[in-house]
This record gives sequence, structure tokens and C-alpha cells, in this order.
Amino acid sequence: MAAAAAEATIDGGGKMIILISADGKRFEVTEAVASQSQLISNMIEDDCTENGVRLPNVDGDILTMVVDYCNMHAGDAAADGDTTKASSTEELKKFDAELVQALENPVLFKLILAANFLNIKSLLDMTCQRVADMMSGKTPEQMRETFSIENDFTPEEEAAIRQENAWAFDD
Amino acid sequence: MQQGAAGEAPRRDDGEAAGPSGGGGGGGEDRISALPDEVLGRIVSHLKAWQAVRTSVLSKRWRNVWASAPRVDIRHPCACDGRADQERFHGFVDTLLLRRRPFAPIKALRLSWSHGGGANRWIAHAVRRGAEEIELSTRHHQGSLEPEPEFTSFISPKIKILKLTRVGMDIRSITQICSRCTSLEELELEDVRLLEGQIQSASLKRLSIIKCYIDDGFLVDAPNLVSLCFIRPLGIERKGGANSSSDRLWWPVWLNDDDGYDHDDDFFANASAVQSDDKRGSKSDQDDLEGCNDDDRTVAYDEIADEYSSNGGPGDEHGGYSESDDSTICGPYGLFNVLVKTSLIMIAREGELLLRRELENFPMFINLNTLSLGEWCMVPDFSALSTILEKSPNVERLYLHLDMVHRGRGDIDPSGGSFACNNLKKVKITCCEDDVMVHKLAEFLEANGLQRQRIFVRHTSRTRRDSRAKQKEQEDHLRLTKKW
Repeated sequence: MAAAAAEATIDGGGKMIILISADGKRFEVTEAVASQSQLISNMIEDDCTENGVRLPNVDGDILTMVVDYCNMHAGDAAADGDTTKASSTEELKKFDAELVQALENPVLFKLILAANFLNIKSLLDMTCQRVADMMSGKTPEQMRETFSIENDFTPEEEAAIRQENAWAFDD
Repeated sequence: MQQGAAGEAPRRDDGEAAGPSGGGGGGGEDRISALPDEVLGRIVSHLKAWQAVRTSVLSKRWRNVWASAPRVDIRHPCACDGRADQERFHGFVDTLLLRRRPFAPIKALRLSWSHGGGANRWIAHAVRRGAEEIELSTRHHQGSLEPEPEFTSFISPKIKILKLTRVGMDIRSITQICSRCTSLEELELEDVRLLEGQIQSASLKRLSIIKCYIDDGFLVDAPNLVSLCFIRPLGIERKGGANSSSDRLWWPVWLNDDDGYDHDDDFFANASAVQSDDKRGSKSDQDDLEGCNDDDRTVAYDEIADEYSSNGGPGDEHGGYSESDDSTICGPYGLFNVLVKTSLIMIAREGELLLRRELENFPMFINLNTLSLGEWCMVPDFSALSTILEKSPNVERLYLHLDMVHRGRGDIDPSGGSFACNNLKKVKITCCEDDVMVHKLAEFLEANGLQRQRIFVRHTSRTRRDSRAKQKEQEDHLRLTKKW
């Protein structure tokens, strides 16, 4: 309906959508790729993507990662159209593993926030899993150290909580 | 709400140098605690329950995060294991559920069987909190009787995913669950006996039947099924044959009256992405059943095809498994020994024979786009496989699991009917490294028009030699469980 400048059409027949990051970088992606974000998918349904989608919460470098991720995973979700070049499961897993393994914590958290904001469930799950893996098997002290969490309890308060949750603390 | 929450990140980080310092975030700012509640809840959901509760002591921010985490993972070794203190465990779970934020929804519950009926209570609790996904395994239970959770605990219009492993529920319970959980989309039954009669579900999209005992005439009526995994079926011994009715189909039947399939997500990929870690820990035996785990070991068929031909082509292939000093595993005579040794394996094969015989009467599987099959349909020739494929014209992903390590195998006759799966995008064959049957299979698929670059092979960690001990263990296990 709303045929506007930003909606170019590629040979695959999919409309193109422009995503604009907080720092003004523009990314052109197909509708199928962008629809993995529930947020954008809803916007497409509501026909309000013609002037590009501004994402004031997402930096360019993070959006680059998100777009890469969505491009790789476009084949997953798309039941229709040209899925022959959809990446194989192996490649995907390798890509995913490399994506999250390599990230420094600050970037990982930004990516989580972007996934949460854009509502891309698989990316959110994968990144949260990565954080959980970093917590798993650690004592509270070690967790604090890993994530620079400041203990703002007084020793008495902390003791009280340990007492209260003793059922989960005794080894 | 999300917008506001997500907005925190750029603001917090904007001023900082892009270059990350101090690795892993140590010594830096506490960024994790700035994540929105919902995200922290998600993170904690990926931890085992006891670990999740321990985050309460991290800081004030974390005090109550665990108490509304949407997924609860309370898998725990069974009491019969000896190491586990069952009483304490029960106390722990009861307290955990009691101390969660009142009415906080539980989306998913994963638990192992625990003695004393706690499991029923916990499942019922999760269902009352709106659970959509429940996973119950009694894998670690070594006692004589298989626990029988009450099916009524599971009944809910919200349940979407149900995975049951080694539960002693009878088929009537499973039938009830299928017909009364009206949103059930995914059902996985592993090591469940005895499947008989009929299960019916209009909502079911993905079905896995793994190592289950299946009776003559078992019928599945699931018109919207898009993904089927059917591996290592086991038949059941008939006494006399008074019960066998020859006019009934043995094979599960799908009635397809709707060919508009949707939601084409790759169940196997998803399932393994989410659970691979846990499964690898607790289900090493399942290593070779899971289509897509461990992709380090997956290669394009092309790569190993060359290796194969340079190692001496098809003429030599029998060397791969007929020269064996272990007569219980392979070769036609070896197989005979197996029959004598453990009647159960023989029965399993009878079941398979029955299954093959009835294949011709298959209906068409129009909806099906993902199919995962075990060796039962490829031995001794490929006719069963080709029949199934011929009747599943819309299959896009095919996973084949060769099972040399678990069963005897005679000579393979690489013949079979022809089929045309024009939609087939990918075939992945899982087998152990020294299994040369993969080449016959690839040849057969190529002869039916499948391009070689669409075939992938995943090697399991074990070679057949490695797995002899395992095989023995399994036979013992079968013998043991057969008593009941």
C-alpha cells in the first residue's frame, strides 16, 4: 500500500526496509530479515516503516551485529520464498557461537538490550544463555567479581539473606 | 516499557572508549545490574534453581530476581542414585515454589522424577502458574518400577511443549493429555512403553518418538504435524498372536486434510540450541539421536566422499564391519547371536519388520517438512526409506540416524524404490566415524536426484569399537528393564 522511496524491491520480491541506528547509520535489509524482530514485524504490519525505522536505543556497531545475526538466521523463520540460500544449521551455530563467545561483557549487555528492545527472541535467549554460562558454577563472590557487581548489603543484611535462603546455600 | 528499559544501555556506555579493557568486564562498571528486570529474570532462568536462588545475595538489585524467573529448572539426581539426599531436595523444591513471588508465572518447568510424589505436586503447581512447557525425565531413576506421574497434573489449555522420558504413564494417560491439552504443539516421548491404540491431537505440530515400545495398530491422528522424528522403534512381544488384527495398520497414520503448513521453524535446531548443554551432560547416550548437536563434527558429504574413494572404493566397504571379533554386533551370523542373547533385541526387529510390511498402506504426509528417521527404515535395503519419502513430498529437511553401534546389521542392499522430494533442501546423516553405510546412502540419495552439496554428515564421537562396552551396557539395561 504505502509505496515509498525507502521501500525498494529486490529480485527476491521482498521489500527492503531501512533501519537507522542511534548514531545515524543506515542499514538496508529485506522485510523477511527485519521481521525476526517482533517490534519491526509489528511496524511492518502497521505500515509504518516507509521512512525507515529509527532505533534510538541501538548504536551502529550493535545494530551491525544484530543485522548480521538476522541475515544469517533469515532462513530459519521464513517458510516462504527463496530459502535456498538459507544458511545451514552448522554454519548458523558456528556463527552464533563465535558471535557471543568473542564479546566483551559491555558489548554483550548492549547486544542483550538491543535484542530485548527489538524483541528478537532467539538472539535474546542465546545472549542470556551466554551470561548464565558465565555465572554457572560460581560462588556469589565469584559472580560479583566477574560482573563487577557491587555488594551493597551490609554484612548483617547479607547474613540475614543467607540465613533466609539457607535452604539454597548449604552445600 | 521495553523502550525505556533498553534506553539505558547507550546512555550508560556512550561516554566510554570503544576499546574494551580489563577483559570479561572485571574491574569495570556493574553493567549487568543495569539490565531490565525482565532480562535479569531471563538470565537467571538459564541457571539451575539452586544456583538461581544464590544470586539473591549478590546485591540489593538481585535480591528477588530469582523469585519471578519464568523458567524453573529443578532437575536433580534420583534418590536411588545414592548420592542424592531426596528429603532435602523435596524440602528445597517446596520452599522454592513457596517463596517465589506470589502468582509469578512459570513458563517452563524442567524436572527429574523424584520419589514420593513431589513431581506430581510440582507439575500441578507449574500448570496452575500457566506453564507452557514441561519436561519430565526419570532417566536417573534406577528402581524397578517406572514412576507413573498422574496425567491430570499436566492437563491445561496452555501447555505447548511436553517432553517425557522413561515415564511409566500408560497410553490412556498420554491419549488424555493429547486430546485435552488443546494447545499442545510439541510432544516428545522417549523410552516410553507401551504406545498402542490411538492418540489424537489437532494442535500437534512436532512429534518425536524415540526408543518407544509400540504396539500393533498404534495410530497417531495429527493433521497439522509438520515435523516427525521416529527413531529406534521397539515392537512388543505378542503372546500367541490372539491380539494381532491383520486388518489394522501397524504404522502410525496421519490424516492430512490441510496442506497449508506454517511455522516452519527447525525444531531440531531449536531444541538443541536451547538444551544441548544440559542434554550433553545427562544424556550422553543420546548423543547420536540428536540431529544437530555438536556441529564441529558435521561435514559436507563431499569432503568425506573423496576420502572414501581414495581409501579404496565400494569394493572394500565390507571390511569396515564384517571383520569383527565381536560376533554379537555385526554380520548376519553375529546377529543370530544377538537374538539368542537378548530376546528383546530380536523383538525390536520384529517390530521393525512389521512396520516395513505396512509401509505400502501409508497415507500421504502432505504437511510434513521435517523428518527424522532411524536405521530401521534403511535395513536391509532402502525400500522403506524411499516409500516414506515418496509419501512425504514436501519434506525439506531430512535427518537420518545410522545406528550401527546399537544393533546388529547384516549386509546392506543399497537398492530401493525411487522417490521425488523436490523440496528437499538438506539431508543430514548421523553415524559413527567408521560406518561406511553412509556412502551407500549418499549414492542412493544422489541417484534419486538429490544434489551432493545438500548432504551433510555428522560423526558421533564414538567409533563402533569404542562403543562395544556401551553396547553391552545397553543390553544389560534392556535385560534389566525387560523384567518389568
